[in-house]
Amino acid sequence: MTSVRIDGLSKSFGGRKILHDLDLTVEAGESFTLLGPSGCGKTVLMRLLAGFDRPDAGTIRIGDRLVAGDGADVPPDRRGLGMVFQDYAVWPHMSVADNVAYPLKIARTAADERDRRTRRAIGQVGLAGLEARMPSQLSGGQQQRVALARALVSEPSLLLLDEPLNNLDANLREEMRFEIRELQQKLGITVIYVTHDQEIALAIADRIGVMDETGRLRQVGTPDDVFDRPIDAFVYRFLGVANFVPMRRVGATWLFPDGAAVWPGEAPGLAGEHATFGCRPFDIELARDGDGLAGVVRRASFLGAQMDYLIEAGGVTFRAATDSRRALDPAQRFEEGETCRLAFRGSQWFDTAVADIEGGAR
Amino acid sequence: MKIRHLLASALLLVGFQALPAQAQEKLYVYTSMKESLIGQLKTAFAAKHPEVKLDYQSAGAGKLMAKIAAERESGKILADVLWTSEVPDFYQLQEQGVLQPYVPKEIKALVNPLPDYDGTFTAVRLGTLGIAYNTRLIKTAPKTWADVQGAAFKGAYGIANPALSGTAYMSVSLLVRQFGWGYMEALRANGAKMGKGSGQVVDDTASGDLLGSLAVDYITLDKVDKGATLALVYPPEMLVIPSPITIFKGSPNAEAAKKFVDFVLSKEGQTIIAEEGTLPVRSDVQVPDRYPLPPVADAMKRAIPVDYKSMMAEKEATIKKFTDIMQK
Amino acid sequence: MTGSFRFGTPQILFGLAVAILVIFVAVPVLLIFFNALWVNGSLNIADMVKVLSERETYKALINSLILASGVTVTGTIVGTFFAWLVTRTDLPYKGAMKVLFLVPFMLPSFIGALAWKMLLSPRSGYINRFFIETLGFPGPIFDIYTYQGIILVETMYLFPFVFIQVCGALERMDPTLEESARISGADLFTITRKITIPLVAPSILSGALLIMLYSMAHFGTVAMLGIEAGIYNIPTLIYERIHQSAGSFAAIRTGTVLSTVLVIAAALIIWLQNRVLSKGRYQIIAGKSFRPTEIRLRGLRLPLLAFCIAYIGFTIVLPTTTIFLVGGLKTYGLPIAVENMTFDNYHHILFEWDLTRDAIWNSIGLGLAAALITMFAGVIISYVIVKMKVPGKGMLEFLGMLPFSVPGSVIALGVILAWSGKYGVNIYNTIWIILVAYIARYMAFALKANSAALEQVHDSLVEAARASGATMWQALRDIVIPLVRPGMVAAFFLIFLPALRELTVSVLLYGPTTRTIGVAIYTLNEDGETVYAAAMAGVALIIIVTAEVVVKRVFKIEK
Repeated sequence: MTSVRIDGLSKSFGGRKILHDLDLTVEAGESFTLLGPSGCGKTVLMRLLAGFDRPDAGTIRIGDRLVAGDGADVPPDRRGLGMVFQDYAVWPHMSVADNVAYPLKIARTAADERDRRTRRAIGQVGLAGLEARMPSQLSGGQQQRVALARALVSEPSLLLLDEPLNNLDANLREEMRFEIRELQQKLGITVIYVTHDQEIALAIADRIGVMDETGRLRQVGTPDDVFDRPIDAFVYRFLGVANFVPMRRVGATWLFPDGAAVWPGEAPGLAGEHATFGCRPFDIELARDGDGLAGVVRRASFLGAQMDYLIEAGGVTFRAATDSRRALDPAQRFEEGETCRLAFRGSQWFDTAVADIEGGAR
Repeated sequence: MKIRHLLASALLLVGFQALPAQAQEKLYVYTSMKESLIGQLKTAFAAKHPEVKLDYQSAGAGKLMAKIAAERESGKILADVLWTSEVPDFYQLQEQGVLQPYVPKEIKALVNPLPDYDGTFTAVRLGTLGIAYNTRLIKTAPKTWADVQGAAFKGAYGIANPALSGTAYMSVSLLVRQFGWGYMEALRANGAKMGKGSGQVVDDTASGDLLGSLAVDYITLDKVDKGATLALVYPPEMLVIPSPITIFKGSPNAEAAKKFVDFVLSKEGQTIIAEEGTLPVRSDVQVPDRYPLPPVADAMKRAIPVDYKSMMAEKEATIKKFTDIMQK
Repeated sequence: MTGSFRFGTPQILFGLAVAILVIFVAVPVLLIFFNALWVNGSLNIADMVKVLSERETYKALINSLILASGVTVTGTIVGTFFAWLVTRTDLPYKGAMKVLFLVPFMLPSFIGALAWKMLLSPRSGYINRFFIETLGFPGPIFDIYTYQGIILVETMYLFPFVFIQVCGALERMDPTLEESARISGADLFTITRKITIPLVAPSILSGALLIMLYSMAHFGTVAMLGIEAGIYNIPTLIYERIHQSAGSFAAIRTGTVLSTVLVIAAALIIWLQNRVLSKGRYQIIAGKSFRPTEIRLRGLRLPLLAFCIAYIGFTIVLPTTTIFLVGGLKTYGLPIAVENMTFDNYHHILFEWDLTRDAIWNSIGLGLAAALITMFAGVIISYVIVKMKVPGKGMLEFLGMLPFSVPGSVIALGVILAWSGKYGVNIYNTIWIILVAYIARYMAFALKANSAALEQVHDSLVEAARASGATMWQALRDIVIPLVRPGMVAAFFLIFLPALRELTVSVLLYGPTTRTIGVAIYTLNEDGETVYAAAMAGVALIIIVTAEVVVKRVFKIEK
């Protein structure tokens, strides 16, 4: 178990600054996820951690050891970590067992010990019985597990995972992310996981660090924190589908863009005249009447688990979602063209313009 | 692990190559003598002096001199011994001071055809050149040097390139001395050709590519021995060209070199030379009767006289003039 | 990126790659240009012009052009015709024919030249003798010592360059292109002229330029057949100058000037070829293999089959048989008859004669050593070029590919300039100087094969090994090398096989004990030891063909 401390880390490639003055601490035994859009520099950060690239400035400490910066430059093979790559990087010329045993072979572990641990690692990822297979005879998911077993076999104190589930199909991805979480908890190792998929991040992380495309860490916190208490619109938007509505304050009331509809809930304590109000589809509760915001259903789509609505209200179009069990109850079901009332169970207010938010996060 | 196998076999091979080269005296002989002669001598020499590993470079005198010049330029002459028939080269090398005088042990038994002998170089054989002709295609043997200017040899008489072959240079020079440049011009008018080396013109005569050629004795007789439809005739004015041998100054293998010089001049060495069909320089060695070679004394009497010193000066001009005539 | 450059394995690899290329390739080639242009420390163009304006020099240049153009034209016609025949028609035994048409690639052309000299020499060639002596012809039917003779022989051995390219293109061409023309009512001739030929033109042209490049720089055939008739091309003139002009520096300088001309000509051809290829790349022919429609030859089927068999018999079987038979003659010029045959020549060259035995071992040793060294050096350099993010790797790539465009005689000359004592190292007259030249000459082969293999090895495979605790060297050893091994094996044989029969380079570099197989055959022929030359050529053919066959069987490089 090892902590990781990053101080003032910067890195450029060919004149383009990827990381700026980044600070981050990952606690020992923690499952930490770096979440960010593609191209945000999270993979660069990962490679700096692993030692494949060197930082332009700043330091990296793994445990008490300075591994990069300040004159230190510990090569990857001496950082004592395990790593799983996006494309698995399973060596095609070695069998499953050889792949997994390789780190032990390099470490000159005694043969019987090596066999034991290799078998155990292969068992841990559920590949027992496939030891003699060559990678070309394995499915993508199985190759993924080989890569994982290989990273785990030397019992590293730190495991780096670079979007390893990206290339898997949805079911497998879901299964694997729980397995990784389970293994991490069982082995108690420190895991740093890089992804752009907020679902994976939320599912496996103790803490999440959200990065933006300029290479800055916007927020670091528990999944609850970043999902429910986003520090800014970027984080909020990145963690799930959201409606953003430009609002205008007249005195103590906030008006929707049509200039007539009034914000029905508690007014936010914002000083400016303009603000953006954000809510997620599930935050909107629909009712046939009441004192909510009046709207018209423009489109209603049944998606199985949920009912998806597009509702015109207050001069904008909202996306709302309802649990299917409720939506299919005829009393709760809205058809296209019906009027409805919108209540907001949750909301976030930002003093950023909508255009900046929309432009900022894809 | 196929690569490992390859590596191993390559190392083995390299080792194989390196082994026999060790722990022996080495000797490099540069000679214009052909394989049939130098090969025999090498075998006999190896039997007598197994401690010496002899390697030879057999090529035309012109090429050898070019190689030696290149080696001198690079600062390292590989050759320990030089043995060709281009006598002026030896006088030139002597003047340049790169030769190591060595008077052979059995000097008393030798006939010396070279003026001002001081041991710098010693004649090993007396090469003779005559007219070789293809007996399959030519029915009447030529008798004089002028006969090859006739219709019988039209377009098919060859002389080796004097820039490449020492014997060819010496012969051209002597024939011009005796008969004037008109002789060469008449040959050319009859379609005579300049070939490459002295071996090749004979081979071409044997094959029929040429009907006749200015030919070195032992090269021709070796092929006759093997069944070639060739004959060698000597016109009255004979071309007798000594082939000297010499040791380079500063040779790291000087002792081995001396052994070789003594060997080729010994009765054993001279017998091999005579057996191959060329005139020895020892009076106690006779050429076998099956060869049409005249006795040494007779050959010397009939020989066109040679002035080596003036030849040395004229060499370049002679070669150029001859080349110009033959390429006209 | 600057400042704190750490010194570790990547730097060692990079340094090694640069050192190998500079020492083996850059220095010799640069010395050629330097010596051609600079005399006693100052630029001297006038001298260069003087050398070039000498009659012999520009005649050699013109001869090179005449011969290369002639061979290119005939080789292209022959290659294209046979390629069409074996891919697009219903010729019987097409598959076997296709394999047979590739056989000339295996055979060294100077051995072919030797054989044709024995067959078509005006007076003594066996074919000419047969016509004159048996059929009573007044004179020879063909004289091999002519421009036509040289072009004929070179064509026989070089046409596969076009044949291979065009076969590939025709096999990959979408047959619907032709079919649609057929439906529109065009006849076969029109289709061939208007559709097929234009579509495969880039392949034809690139094959043709390969022939041209090869022929321009070709030594063996011209040396065997041309020198006596006064036909020089640039490589043979370089050879003559170096071997005859008493080794004076003037001769070497003439050589450097000639080399410069040759390099420029070669560069021009390569430039042309690249243009052709970049234009042709996006046309018609995509990777897929179609089953092309076959043109029915009808009545011509059997006559054309007979023609192909006759061609193969005439160009492969006849000369090869001649070599073996003449090698068994007691002396050259005798009729080929049982009473004139002997095994003595073969016995002599294999078991008695140091010259030929050395030559065989030298060639095998040189081939193995050059192939091994170049193979490993090739991996290192390709690794730097393909995998490392370092400045200046474009330069490395250029250097590595340079010998591809630099003819063998030029490399040999450069190696003489660099390694004969002027700069402290004197390996002239030793086997090492030939090895050094081979390494330079074949480096491009190794780079091509290894780069292709390395590009398949994704970076993350190496990084995964590093993350697993492997050092750079361990990652190279355990991951990279095993994965590029097919490329390395290919490189090994791409080098070993041609090195085995090499002549152009070694003929300028050999010393008393460092003859190669090629040099031994060439000098034996030059010395008038024709039967030994033939016997040696026969032995060489057996070695070369055995090596080729073993290689293909064991390593299955064939696609």
